[in-house]
Amino acid sequence: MLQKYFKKEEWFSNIKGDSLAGIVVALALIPEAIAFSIIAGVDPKVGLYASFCIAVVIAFVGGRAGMISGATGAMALLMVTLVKENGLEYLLAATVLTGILQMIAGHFKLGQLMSFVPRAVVVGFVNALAILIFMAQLPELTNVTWHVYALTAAGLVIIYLFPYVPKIGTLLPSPLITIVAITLVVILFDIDVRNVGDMGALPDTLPIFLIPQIPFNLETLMIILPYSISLAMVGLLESLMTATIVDDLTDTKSDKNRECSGQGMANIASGFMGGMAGCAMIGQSVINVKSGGRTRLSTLLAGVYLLIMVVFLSNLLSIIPMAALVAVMIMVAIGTFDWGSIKKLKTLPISTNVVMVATVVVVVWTHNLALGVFVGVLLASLFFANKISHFMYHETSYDEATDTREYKIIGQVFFNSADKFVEFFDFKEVVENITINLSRAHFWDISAVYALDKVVIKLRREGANVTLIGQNQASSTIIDRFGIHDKPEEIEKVMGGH
Amino acid sequence: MQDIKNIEQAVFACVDGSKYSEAVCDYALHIAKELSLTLVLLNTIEHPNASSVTNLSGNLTLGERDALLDELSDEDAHKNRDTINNGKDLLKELRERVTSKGYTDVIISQRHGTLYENLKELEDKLRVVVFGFSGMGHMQKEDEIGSCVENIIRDVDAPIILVNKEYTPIKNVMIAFNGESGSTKALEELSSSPMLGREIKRYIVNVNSNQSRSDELIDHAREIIKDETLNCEFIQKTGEALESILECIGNNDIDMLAIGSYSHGKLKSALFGSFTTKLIQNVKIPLVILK
Repeated sequence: MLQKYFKKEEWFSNIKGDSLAGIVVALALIPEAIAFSIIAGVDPKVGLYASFCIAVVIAFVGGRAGMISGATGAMALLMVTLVKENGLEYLLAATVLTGILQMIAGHFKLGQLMSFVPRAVVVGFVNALAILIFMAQLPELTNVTWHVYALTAAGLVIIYLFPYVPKIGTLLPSPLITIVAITLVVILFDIDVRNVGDMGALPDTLPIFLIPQIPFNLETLMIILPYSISLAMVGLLESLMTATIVDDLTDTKSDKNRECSGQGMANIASGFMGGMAGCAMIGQSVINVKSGGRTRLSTLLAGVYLLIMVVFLSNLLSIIPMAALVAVMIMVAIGTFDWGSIKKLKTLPISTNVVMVATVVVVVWTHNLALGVFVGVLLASLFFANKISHFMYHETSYDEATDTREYKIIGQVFFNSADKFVEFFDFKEVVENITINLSRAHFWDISAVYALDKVVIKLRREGANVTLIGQNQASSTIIDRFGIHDKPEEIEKVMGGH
Repeated sequence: MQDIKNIEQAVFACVDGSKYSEAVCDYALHIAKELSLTLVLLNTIEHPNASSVTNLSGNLTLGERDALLDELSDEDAHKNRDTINNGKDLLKELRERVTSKGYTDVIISQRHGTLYENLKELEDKLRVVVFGFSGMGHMQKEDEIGSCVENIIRDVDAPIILVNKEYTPIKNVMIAFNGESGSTKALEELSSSPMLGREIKRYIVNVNSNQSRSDELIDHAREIIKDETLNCEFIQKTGEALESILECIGNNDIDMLAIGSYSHGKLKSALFGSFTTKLIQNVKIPLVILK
């Protein structure tokens, strides 16, 4: 147990890189946590406590070292109506329930279900997320004076150009420089713009354990359960996707099921500490890796630094102009967007692009990433079924001596190709005997069996003697638990003849 | 380089270019000869888990992920190529060494990942694993046992030989026997298989202040060694275990010491220190460790 949770090399193999990356990440977590609290409609302290709790807990129990988790936009967007209609206490309860659901998912190893989510849907998810984060900044940019536009633009210029300054450019985090510079400008020139302090309460103490003040009855459960299900799904999806991204970047492996239950534990902790539900953060994790963070230490330190800065500097935080925050968040949106996917649009098959774009459109429309993924997976499966249904053809021959027509069916027969299968037969032809040779066909489901029955009955009605060849071989593929059969020799038995 | 996924059981010599690599190879060769098994010379390429370039700018540009992936993989590729080439040269040199001593059943293999990872993956092929006491990275603190070594000893289910000096022919072996499962296995292995050679002398030592318990254990040891033709000597000692064992080794000019590994959990060992770790740190002759 202890061995599993405390591997020395997962903590102390990269102390210098992790300590520095922890600071960079903590600085970037602050504006994000504040921004996402605002999206969810709660005080900034709810997001800040969430990011602290989640980062610290996940450092110990997560399945992916070097990944950063905290309050996220994807989750915040799902809470908006819950907060508006029922208030913060219900959100905290929903957060705890989300955690419980995620732990259950982890226990039943549902992380493996990720293999049903095709690459195109993952890309669509990430792009939709980027667009949503960007769109969430728009309220701060509408009905405001020109000062806000100027400050935001200046912020973006600093963020992207400061790293090119020799020497200090790669030593100081440019988002921090932006925040400090914009804040100083606003104070020095006494510009009247909104700041973080106007958006709600900031943390003034360490988070404390509290049980959400809600009536514990079925009615409450029915209110929060739908939210918790969406939150749990989106949280796990984004976390597992982020884990894959970090896996690729660092060329190491992660434990996906441990990550699921880890996210659950982190959310339970967050809910009881007055924080909102969260998950892994794509942008922050990339920043962490880029800054040299590799182990659990950087995740833990990011959380700890965050809390120290927030609790002791909350007065300073409240004077940060929203414009500076918006600039940082636009950067996060840009960094989250999978730019390579746009360049690849031209070369990929149209069905892949449709799946990706559909995922994006549904998410942007509904603000619900879970729905987008659902639509994407559904579409991708249909396209896949359609592709496979083309893998079927027939050959026929006629023997005059015995007045026998033989149909030979080759390929995959299932719900999508069953109609085409029926069309192979010429029911108008008058023959004495009909042989249907299925020894090279594969029947994948009941639709295929039903289609065959229909064909046989129809041919018999016309007065022909129907003989089936190889029916048992063909239908041996109708087994639900293919998993126990996926040894080469078993597959050879079922798929033989090809 | 042959496909080691296809071999059955073999003796694995894990070499990394540190100072005992040749000794590891020689000890493994001796064992492979005695067991008449394939000798696998294994070199693992451990990936550096950190980037040497510091960039704390903390900003994300368009296409940052792809750019970062390219950057990091280029860096790794560059570093790995050097390590791989060095490892290849080492393996070829050692294979030459083995074949020049007249043993041809030798395979060289290079794999990515840590030694621990790879041994875990190859676990069912491991008849005996031989490796040097400290990897290159730990050269500076020689008496400290690397966490990698400890994990392998704890987790990998195969007889392990820890080499900590240059090769000298094996004339005898001492088995520290205390009745626990690890040392029982060590005794079984060394009395029933010709791993170190059939003709060598076996000293079975039990350190125990309780005379009757010690007698019992020695009798038990006699039962385990069924073959009465083996050249065995039983030694009973009282006093502090570590000192007695070290003294015994010195008095009898012992070539190898066989012990059972970590009988306690990691937590207990971390709190109270482990006898196995102490032995590994203090014994100056190669160790045979069984679980």
